[in-house]
Amino acid sequence: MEKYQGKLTRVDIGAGGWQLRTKSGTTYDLEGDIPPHLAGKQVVIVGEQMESFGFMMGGPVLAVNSIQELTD
Amino acid sequence: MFNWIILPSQLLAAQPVIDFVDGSELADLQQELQIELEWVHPNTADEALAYPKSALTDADRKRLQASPLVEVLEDSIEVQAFGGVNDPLYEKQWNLHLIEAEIGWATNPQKEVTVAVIDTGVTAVPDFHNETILPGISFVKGEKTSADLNGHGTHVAGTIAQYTNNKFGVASIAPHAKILPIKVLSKRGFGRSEWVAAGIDEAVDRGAQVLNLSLGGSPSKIIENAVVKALKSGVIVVAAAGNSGREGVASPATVPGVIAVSATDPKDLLSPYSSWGKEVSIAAPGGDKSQPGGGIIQDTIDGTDHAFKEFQGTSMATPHVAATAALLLSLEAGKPENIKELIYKGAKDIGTPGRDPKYGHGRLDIGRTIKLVAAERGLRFAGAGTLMLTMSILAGFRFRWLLAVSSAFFAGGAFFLPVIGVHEPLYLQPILNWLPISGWLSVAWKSALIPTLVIVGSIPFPRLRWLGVNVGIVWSTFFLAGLIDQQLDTSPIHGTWWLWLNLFLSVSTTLILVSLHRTVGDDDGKIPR
Repeated sequence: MEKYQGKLTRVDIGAGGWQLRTKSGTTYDLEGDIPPHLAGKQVVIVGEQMESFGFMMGGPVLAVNSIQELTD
Repeated sequence: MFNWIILPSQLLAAQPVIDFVDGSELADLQQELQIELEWVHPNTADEALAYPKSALTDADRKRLQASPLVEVLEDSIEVQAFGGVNDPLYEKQWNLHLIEAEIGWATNPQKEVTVAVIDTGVTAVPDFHNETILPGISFVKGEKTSADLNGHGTHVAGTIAQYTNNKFGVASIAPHAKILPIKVLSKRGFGRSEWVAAGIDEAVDRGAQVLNLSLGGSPSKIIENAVVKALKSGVIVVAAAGNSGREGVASPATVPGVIAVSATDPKDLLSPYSSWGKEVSIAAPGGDKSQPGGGIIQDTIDGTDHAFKEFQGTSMATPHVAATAALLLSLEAGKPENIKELIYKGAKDIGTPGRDPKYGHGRLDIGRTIKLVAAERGLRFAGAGTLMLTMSILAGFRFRWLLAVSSAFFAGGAFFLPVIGVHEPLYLQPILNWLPISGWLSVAWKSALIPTLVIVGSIPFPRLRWLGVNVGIVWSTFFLAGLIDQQLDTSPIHGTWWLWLNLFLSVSTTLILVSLHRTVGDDDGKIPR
């Protein structure tokens, strides 16, 4: 498992989904339970990149193990 | 060159639909009216739309129409000529207007075509005809049902084949097509590559002729192998380019031979989220919800209920193309390679002239594509038909001879049509199919009755006789040419030069007929030498 940091974004594609947009410009499609109140916040995600397919098609798929809001 | 005639045509088998007073209970209605009924869909119970379970007699119809419980009784099958369809939300489907889906609806599909929707599953929401969705399968671990728990797959299937002209909800592009639900994405919208690969294999095994892949990811060898295998077996594969908003097409749309689809907005510009790249084959409406009403609206699930929802994405663009492929296959417009060519040739070239990385060959245009099919098929028929007539005339046949020959053609046409499934010229279909008959009677009507009537009708009029016989022969040779056409579809000489040859033959024969018209006139009906 690795840590990924960026802005958590609710994306209106298809039936909707979540993405993490990192400072370096990478966009990850997020698979997992995402608390909706964190939308738009800077977060740290502990997860794993998966060889996964989906309808989001925004970038590599990150399976989310845990998610935490970045406070400072 | 050809009149493009569109007359009302059948969309689905005749099925009476009864709209009862809202809030009616099925059991009460059955008891009161003494007719077995079923709701159009369980979720339409509030609107009280029902089908009778057995055929209605005239007496039944009268009784129903007189009943205060019945608001409307009708066979909701007719497509309105050029007036669009009666689905109330059709006016919001800018996407269908843009690609001229109406021209597709006005054709008469000859063959049933199955489109596999390899996605989050498909649920039979109310705006599907009850025979559209085939039994499906799920490859998703922990989700046994092929029903949709997300909403994406149902929306995608909706664009392809939701019930059209049923006075309810929305329209779709190929309402005749059957949907095979292959679930490979979970309720969250993700799936493992081995599920997707297994789903592709299964779809091909189950006889799907078109695969809709509104999904993608990083390149996966096992998915690409499955796609290559599907393509080799003659299946048309349509896949989404991706939603990164950047250059770089998602796999498996990158596999050579796959139709890779980018997304456009209501202004015919690339949607801001759409991926693009050299692999993009074609663009289709995927919507842009930042513009009012700019999404793609279909009936899909919404929690435990259904709703008409606007979605956007290259996922939404992809089924526009898959449905068009299904429509062309149902019209027997050619082999998969021909179908792809027709779709590309018919596309409206937008963006940089010629093929470009954003729009591929252009934006999907069903109207132009169907007209291409009609022109190609019509030219071939006319060419082959006039070739025979030319030969007959040049050989100096007499009218009695011609009558015998044409009679043989009628008999041959009537015999062969149902056996071989001869093509009819598409531009003649609306005329051929206006009579509400089917089976042998329909075959006889098309191949023998029309020309016989023309010939018999012209016999008492010596000056018209030559015309009657010629028309009769041309007509019947159309059907004989259908046999040749059928063979040519699978032969290597099928191609552009054949069109030019036929065009030449058509023109030369027309000139011969004109000169014949000037010289014919004797009452014996002989062609002067």
